Amino acid sequence: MTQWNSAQHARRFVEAYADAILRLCLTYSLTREDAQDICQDIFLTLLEDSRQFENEAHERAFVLRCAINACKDLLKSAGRRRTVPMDQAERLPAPEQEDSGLPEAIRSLPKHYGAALCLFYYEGYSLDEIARLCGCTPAAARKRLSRARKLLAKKMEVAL
Amino acid sequence: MNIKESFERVGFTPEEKMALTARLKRAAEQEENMTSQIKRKIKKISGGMIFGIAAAVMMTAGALAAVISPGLHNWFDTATPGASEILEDGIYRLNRSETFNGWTVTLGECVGDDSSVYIWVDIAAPERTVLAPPENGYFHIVYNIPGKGGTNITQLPDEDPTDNVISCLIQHNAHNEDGSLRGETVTIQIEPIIDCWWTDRLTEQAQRHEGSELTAAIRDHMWVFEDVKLDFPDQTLCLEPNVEIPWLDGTATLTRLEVSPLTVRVELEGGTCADYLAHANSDPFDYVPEEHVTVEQDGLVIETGPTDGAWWDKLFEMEQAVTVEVTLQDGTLLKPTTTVRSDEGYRQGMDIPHLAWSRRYDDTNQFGASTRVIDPAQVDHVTVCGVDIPVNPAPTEQ
Repeated sequence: MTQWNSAQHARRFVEAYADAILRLCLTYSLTREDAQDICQDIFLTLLEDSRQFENEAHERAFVLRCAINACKDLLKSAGRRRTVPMDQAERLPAPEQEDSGLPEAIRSLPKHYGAALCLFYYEGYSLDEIARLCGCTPAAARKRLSRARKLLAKKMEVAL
Repeated sequence: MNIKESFERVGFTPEEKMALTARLKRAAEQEENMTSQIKRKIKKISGGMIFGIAAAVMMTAGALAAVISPGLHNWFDTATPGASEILEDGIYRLNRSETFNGWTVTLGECVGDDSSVYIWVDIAAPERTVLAPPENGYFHIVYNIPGKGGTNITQLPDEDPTDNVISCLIQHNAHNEDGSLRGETVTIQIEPIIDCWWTDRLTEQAQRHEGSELTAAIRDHMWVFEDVKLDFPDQTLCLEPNVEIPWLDGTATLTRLEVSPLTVRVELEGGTCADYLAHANSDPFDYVPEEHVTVEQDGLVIETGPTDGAWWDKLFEMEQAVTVEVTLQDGTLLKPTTTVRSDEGYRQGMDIPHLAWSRRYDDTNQFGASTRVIDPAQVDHVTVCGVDIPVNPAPTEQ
């Protein structure tokens, strides 16, 4: 495993984690610029202690946990711009009509719901793992997912 | 709908990644040469500047709110006896306004119970502005109550599209981990209001745009209402029936029944509550349904194969097996099915499984929002899983 102790590890960090951090940021209605700031903070944190992890899963969990905490901290700061259209973050052309509202719908979910969705459906974490990452109970994590699904279904129904 | 695919679309471009890599390298190199004292100074100055700018441009101006809205009485269905009066008694007027660059956002009336809160919001652009979304467009409006999340905000039909006012309704559901909002003092944030519109909507070139000149003056402005006390009255009628009801393959005890103007809440304990919790606490991906079927729920087609979807369907099915019917004294029968708040777990220090669901009265409009209000004093009885619980039974003739 990488021991994070050199500025030259920046490339590996960006390749491994930048997109994942951006996804989490967007679920919290944060901007691409916020995601870049958070990337920098986490990278510096890794370097600060010359961190080394047991395995990749451990490292990824640490980074995502840091990202979630950073998102929450940013949301607490007053007077900041919080809006960015999720579709601006997409690398692909405009989505087709049948799923065009989904990114927006995910973004409009209550903040911790979007993160739970991202961790469960994209990162593939279990409910227990999500609970640890988000600092909640497994029951709360499951409830957030359940509500997120229901809200998404409703929002998509209205949008279509 | 494919949630994973939707997330897959999100990422930095190769150019952005190159720039970010260079930035991280520079930051790491600078970090090595920077003392802790300098870092602290930088953080402190940044925070102060942000606050100063925000304070300079924003003003609280209740007197400037030039907004007349039809309010909650026009939104809710108050056709059943006593409903209009109970709604009027339940409305708490917030009357909070914030003005920024000539635009005013007002939190008007609110009404609620321990499960949900409705807040009327008016948005007024400067005089003589025609406040209407562009063709094929809409206003993107998001609210948040920090620490409590956000549920739903709906833009209401605009009675006069040529004037400078639109109205919205916040419908906020309480979560079990957060508790009731009644009597709570909260901050309500409305994120920057932006108009959005589509071009070539039904083609492959479909593109969404946002932020025309109409909303340019408020594009970056977060509307923040601090210290908002949700002091709506408690109009809930509470009973503790403590009766056995048939549920799933056994029984559970109905320990509490609450009837409010907006929701009916049932609390169950023991018995088959354990079966529900056993399923709820299991791993969705370990669940194998008895048969592979396709169901349609909330407008979505869901395949219930060996995926987590079947697990969720099973959970929903178990919850919906707790049937609740509300019969008014005039014979009106209501069948609440939509859950707005749920609680589950074990009684502290005990092994007694406990569940509760609050359901609205399900007279929904085109936005999926509940509009029915009832007067709890007009409820004759509530039937839970076929068991009648008298609430205000009509006096029997001598």
